[in-house]
Amino acid sequence: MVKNSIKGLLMGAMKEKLKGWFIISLLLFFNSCGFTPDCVKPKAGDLSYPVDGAIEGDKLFVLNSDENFDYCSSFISVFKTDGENLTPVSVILPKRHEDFNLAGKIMISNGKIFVTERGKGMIFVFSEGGEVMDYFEEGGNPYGILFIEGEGGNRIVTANIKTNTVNIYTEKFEKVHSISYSYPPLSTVYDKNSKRIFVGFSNSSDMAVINFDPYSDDYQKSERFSISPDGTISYIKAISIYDGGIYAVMESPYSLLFVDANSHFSTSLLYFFKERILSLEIIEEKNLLLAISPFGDMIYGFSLNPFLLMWKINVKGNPVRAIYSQKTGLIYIIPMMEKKIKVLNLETLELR
Amino acid sequence: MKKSLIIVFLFLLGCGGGGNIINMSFPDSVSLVKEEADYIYITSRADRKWLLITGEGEKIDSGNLGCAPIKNMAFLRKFFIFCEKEDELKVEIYTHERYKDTLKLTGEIQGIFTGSVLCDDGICFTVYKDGKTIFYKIVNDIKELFSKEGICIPLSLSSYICDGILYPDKVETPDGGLIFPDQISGPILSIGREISVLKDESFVHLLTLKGQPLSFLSFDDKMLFFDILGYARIIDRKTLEETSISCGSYPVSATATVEERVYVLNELNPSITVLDLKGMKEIKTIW
Repeated sequence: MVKNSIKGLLMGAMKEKLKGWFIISLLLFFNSCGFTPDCVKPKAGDLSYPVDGAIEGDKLFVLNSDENFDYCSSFISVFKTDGENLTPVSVILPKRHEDFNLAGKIMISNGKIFVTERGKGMIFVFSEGGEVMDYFEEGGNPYGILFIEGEGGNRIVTANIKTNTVNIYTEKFEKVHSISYSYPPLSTVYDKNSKRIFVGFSNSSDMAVINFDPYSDDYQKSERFSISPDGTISYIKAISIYDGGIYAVMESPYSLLFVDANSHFSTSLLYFFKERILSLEIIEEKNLLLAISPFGDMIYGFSLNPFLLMWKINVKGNPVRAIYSQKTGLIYIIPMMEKKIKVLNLETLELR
Repeated sequence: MKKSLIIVFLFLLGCGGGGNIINMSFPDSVSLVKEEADYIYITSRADRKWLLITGEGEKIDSGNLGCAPIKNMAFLRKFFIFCEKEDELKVEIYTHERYKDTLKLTGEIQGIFTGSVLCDDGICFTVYKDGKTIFYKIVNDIKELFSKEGICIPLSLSSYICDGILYPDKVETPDGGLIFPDQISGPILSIGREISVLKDESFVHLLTLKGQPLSFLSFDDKMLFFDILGYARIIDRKTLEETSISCGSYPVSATATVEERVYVLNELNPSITVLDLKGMKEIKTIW
């Protein structure tokens, strides 16, 4: 009886010990896979607080910040665009993905996917298949990113909104130049024809121009000028370039400006918005400029020449980007607060 | 107790007053009909509202529209409102006769409204659909005139801009430029503060204003530019001499009587600034 009870106690202790070991080994197993039991691995087609996107060929890449930590990490969702249908293809994650916060920008060039990361200030380069091809720890918060092709070597340009610098690298992330500013460089564009980088700053109506030639590595000092047409319109939110002219959306008051970059940087006020605008897209072949308001759930469509507000369309779910596909002729809209990409037909203005 | 209630009442009265007459945000188009008094029509695309007031600032009537009014114009003592139903890609044209006191739907056209201008004996306007722009004329009825490829805006019955080319001269218009129609000098191009006119099939520099013009009015002997700095710049056509009158901030639209009384619509601080050009003075502001 006593013997049996001791045996029972021993068995119980053994069971508890085994259970403990099982849990520990399970934890170790999940950790070796890169997951903790509590976190959910994103699957193809998932969206979680997307902040940016890009189209390459027939694929749409959506950068998910996963701001609410629904998944183990932020990630890139890859979709195949087939007209209005979007087929989920895969998910791209950085190595040891739980450490990184891909809440910046995505840009694709020559089959390479460049993504800026705000947690550690990383720049990731992925292959289209999802492998990490390269990465670089810049520090701070690299936000905007440009890839500039040149015969003497390609250049990567980052705009760091924490260190207030614009950094120019070789393709192997060797730093060529670093330019410091007094305000965060929020938006950057490159003009191929004049070989100039234009920088729009947060909390300022100033724009900087960097004369930069990737062919010869010739670099001249950055110049700054105000784009405010009357001295009071201020605070750049985003800039976009078209044929030497820069379109800028401003914060106070909400407005659209045109900066003639071919001559003396003269500025024209083009339009006042009722809602705050966060981003601009120019679709050259459609002679169209889109102004996107996540806060007002609105997208404005302007014809560029003649300049004219053609339409405005209500898009629920806080749209952050509207990306045009040359292949399908459709616009893919990324709403931050919804789990579905929306598709806009420009001919009929039908939104699906 | 009674005393404090009176103070509160007086305070509230002082704060609220009677309220603004121009009770709409982002009013962006103004026109006038002159009868025994000046009647001013104001519309707001953002608020989908219309308002009819007298030139003295007395409210006649107001209302909401089931569409976005892009522009209003006056012709033969009638107001015309070009209104867009964005979700149906349709333009609705309303007329408002002050004496009949009704807003009447005069016509519906499929497409996107791109512009309108006074021409000969009516209003010419354009609607874009399926890659081409159709030109119409409205007097009592709407008549289709002709169509052109691309996105076009009318400048007169025979002059228009399609996809960045000014016709019939076939002159390229620069991106970011604003074109003001002028019956006397021909189309006026504004890029920022720089003003150019068409001469020998190209735009030549005419003058540099102190601020970027947002709206324009044409008179036989002078041009009026209403600029972003809040001034009406009066340019003598012969000498190009400039005189200025303050006209309120962000003057996006303006209209005038033949007696040169000018009503300027200010978009961001919704108001009408009334100017007397002959006396070269600002008469009043209607809020």
